[in-house]
Amino acid sequence: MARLFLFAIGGTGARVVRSLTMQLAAGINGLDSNTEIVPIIIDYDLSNGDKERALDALESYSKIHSALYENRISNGESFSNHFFMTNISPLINLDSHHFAFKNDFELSFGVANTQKTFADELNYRGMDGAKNALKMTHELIESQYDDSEVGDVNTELNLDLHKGFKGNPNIGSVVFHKFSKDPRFNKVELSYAAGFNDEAKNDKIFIVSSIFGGTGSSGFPEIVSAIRNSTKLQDACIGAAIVLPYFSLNSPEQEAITAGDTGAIDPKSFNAKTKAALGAYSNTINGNVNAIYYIGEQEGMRDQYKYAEGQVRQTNDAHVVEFLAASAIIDFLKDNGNHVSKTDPNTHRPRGLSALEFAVKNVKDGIAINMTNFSQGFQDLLLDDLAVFAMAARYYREVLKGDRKAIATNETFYTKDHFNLATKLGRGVYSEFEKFLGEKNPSNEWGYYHWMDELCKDHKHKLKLFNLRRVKDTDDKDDLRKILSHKTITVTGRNPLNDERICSSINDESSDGPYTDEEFFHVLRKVFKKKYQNNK
Amino acid sequence: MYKFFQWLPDFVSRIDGKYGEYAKDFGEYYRDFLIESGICGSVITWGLIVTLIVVSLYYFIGCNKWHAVANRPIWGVVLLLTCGITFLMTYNSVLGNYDEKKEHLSGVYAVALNNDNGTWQRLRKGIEDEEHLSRIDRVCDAYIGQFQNGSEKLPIEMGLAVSLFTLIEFFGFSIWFKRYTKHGAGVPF
Repeated sequence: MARLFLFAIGGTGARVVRSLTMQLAAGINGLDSNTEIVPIIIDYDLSNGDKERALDALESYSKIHSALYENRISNGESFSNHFFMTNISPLINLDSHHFAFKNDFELSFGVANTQKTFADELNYRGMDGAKNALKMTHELIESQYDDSEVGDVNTELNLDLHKGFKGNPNIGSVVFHKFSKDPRFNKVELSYAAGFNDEAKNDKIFIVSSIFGGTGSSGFPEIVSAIRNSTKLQDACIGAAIVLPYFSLNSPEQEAITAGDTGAIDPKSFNAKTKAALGAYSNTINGNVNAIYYIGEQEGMRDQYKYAEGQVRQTNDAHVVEFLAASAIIDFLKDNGNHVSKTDPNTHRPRGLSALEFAVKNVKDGIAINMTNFSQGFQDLLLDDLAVFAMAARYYREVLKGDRKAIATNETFYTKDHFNLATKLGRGVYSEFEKFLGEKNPSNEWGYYHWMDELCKDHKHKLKLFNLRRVKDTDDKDDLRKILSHKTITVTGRNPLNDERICSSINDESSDGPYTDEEFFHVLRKVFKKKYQNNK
Repeated sequence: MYKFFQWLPDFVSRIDGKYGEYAKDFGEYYRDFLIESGICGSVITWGLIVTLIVVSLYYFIGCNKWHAVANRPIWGVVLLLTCGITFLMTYNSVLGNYDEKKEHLSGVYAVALNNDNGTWQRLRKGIEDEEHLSRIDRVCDAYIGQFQNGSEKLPIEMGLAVSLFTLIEFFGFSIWFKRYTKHGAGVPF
């Protein structure tokens, strides 16, 4: 089994994981049921809003995967061409296809005690009055860090860590230094080495983080260092998505100040911190990582986000940069172009660095990015699979759930002798699927439809791949032809994308059974994949 | 198989000789036609065969090949058509065809008039009494006249009865066959 340990650091890492989860839901060609991804979301900010949304998405995905496939995989079967087929496992329960709770995917460094400062983390006060080496350490720290009072925008030693490092990688890197001693990292070491067979040699590690904030830019080099210094992991193939600045922050509003924000995060320093980090990485990281994917937004095209230093108020809309960073993970895992360098088993270092950037073509100001702005290779990598999922999701909502035109309940595949959907929709795995889509609970804002909606709103670079608007007030039977945002799919002869023809195809594909929930979603994917491929 | 029609009051009253002016005499003719000739069994059997053929065509060809026909409205139309076909078949079988040439007689006319075993011929055998023979002639003419001028509703009643049987058979075959089709498993329910 191909396994990927995915370290996602900070808010950006969490947002990328959310995008990745949505992409994997589509069933990416090449990442079949034998593929296992182990997300480890690392954040010092215990209640970060973006992290919570990513964890919710992971938990829901895990529940659906488990409900549909656990028994089949336990029986030793492997398969492709299914939604939710890639196994996403928590670190504490590898190789299990049982569903996982959201917190299982989290590796939190944070402290429950909101009073803990950086000085407390270092036991700085305890060094005061000490002798010899400890006294010198105390003086060194005193010289390196600002000791302004708690709440001061410049404070470092007295920085309250419960919201993370607030854009101070010089603090974060010290805190992260103990990462290699964390028992959960030891678990990664043991899991990676557990096979030491042909399968284990296919295991990979990927790290995604921003480079202009606090948590990500602190954690990334420490994690790479911990991996390369580990005797068990030193030969690992490591990839990384380094997310360059892609947004800026407005000045703190009254709401933020009332919530305790101090204005410590200075967006004007993002570029400088990025340059400093890249400079540092060229001497440290670049020789230790097999592939680096650089993704960011050019100056002048960066969105202005509302100021929030962390916790639940840090809930940013999904962005195309995060979408592409997630696709980098898929590209690394599949490595169809064989462009990821190999690790030399003698030196335990990569034989070279594959440095990759992402480009879109023909993007016009004010016009959302759509499928035509991507290369054919990228469409093959995942966009086609996403299109199939989008079509299936719309059909599920509009026809099976009756949002546009309810299906006749005596439709063959709907009846109780077949998939028995009348009793199943809204329950069990179907309920979880609807929740994943963002339909079930109005307060669920992490779901698929919300994610797609966020990607194409209020950004200077919007990403609008599909039309997913509600059409409950229209009787347009051909509406699925308009699934792609850049064109109406042209069909010849009898329209194979109208509701009646889709029903016919589902009946055809499912006529021999079995009539399990897994088979229903499989048939749905098969039908729409065929229709999309024939008519895109 | 005439017992399948014994729930029709008019049917029974005709056989029992309780119908019309020459009730007892007519009874002879009706018993010959409805019981002895086997017309009842014939219309029921043909009705069943036609229904089976239509339902088979609808489900195993229609509902397997074309999703567009696998719905309740189409099923309903096919049902009505089948009932219509069996009604007409029964009506024509019962009423038959009146002709001067005996070999062209069919239906009730064939039973009443045709060959030496025809009801009329059989009843006249051995009777010398002219008045009695004349009475038989009048009954026979009245009997045939009722069917010719349409005042006899028995063909319609039997046609409707066979249509009802067709409806029941159609439902039964539908429930049996629908599960073996690609698109018709939910038709009619």
